[in-house]
Amino acid sequence: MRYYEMLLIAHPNYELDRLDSVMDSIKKEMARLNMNVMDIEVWGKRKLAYLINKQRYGSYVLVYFQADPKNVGEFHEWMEIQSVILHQLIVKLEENPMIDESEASSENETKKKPVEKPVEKTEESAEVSESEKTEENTDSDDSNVKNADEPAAEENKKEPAESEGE
Amino acid sequence: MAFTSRRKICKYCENKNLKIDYKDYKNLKKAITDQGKIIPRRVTGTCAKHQRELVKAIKRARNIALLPYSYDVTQN
Repeated sequence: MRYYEMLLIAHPNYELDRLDSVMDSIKKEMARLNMNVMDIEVWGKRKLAYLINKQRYGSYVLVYFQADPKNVGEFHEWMEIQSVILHQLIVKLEENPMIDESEASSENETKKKPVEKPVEKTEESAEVSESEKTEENTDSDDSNVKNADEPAAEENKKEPAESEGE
Repeated sequence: MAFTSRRKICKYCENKNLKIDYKDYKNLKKAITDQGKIIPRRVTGTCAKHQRELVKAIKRARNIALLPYSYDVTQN
């Protein structure tokens, strides 16, 4: 068994509750292939750097899992067929990804996780009606943030160049 | 007039806490030009080992649409 991480982009129409149903189907397929899901991080809806299947936005989800290398190819093929998933990237990890985040014993982690997940879900379901209304606003905010970042990055580039000239 | 260049230092060797990760696209943006090209290490001073990791991370980030393959400068 090896450790892997998968970053997938779901269709932008699939958010919150609908995204959970997508993740359930992925979990089922992973269970069928004897894969062990360790952690799931939902990044949320983001603007893509370029269009994928004519979509400008996508819902990013990061999944850490443990799997037999033989099954990963089959899983990748299954993911390619899914129309809901725009794109995915599976990366092999050298170490257990869960150790870095908290150096506490693995027993504590397993106890914490089941408690945390239901809480997140209830919050999400409560926010559905509100967040759907504010989606458009948040999107425009994201684009502003990105634009704000770019000049900062350019400034950083310029500074070393000036010092070299001196 | 003699031109003396300051010795460039690899910032990833200097600061061991900096980690190269394809998911950390905000930091990777500093390693690409405004056109989206990867800045060569002769310009940035990154060491060969870290440049290899950096290039791999940028290419992964491009694949998953966190970074663009190219910015269209003319449209902006």
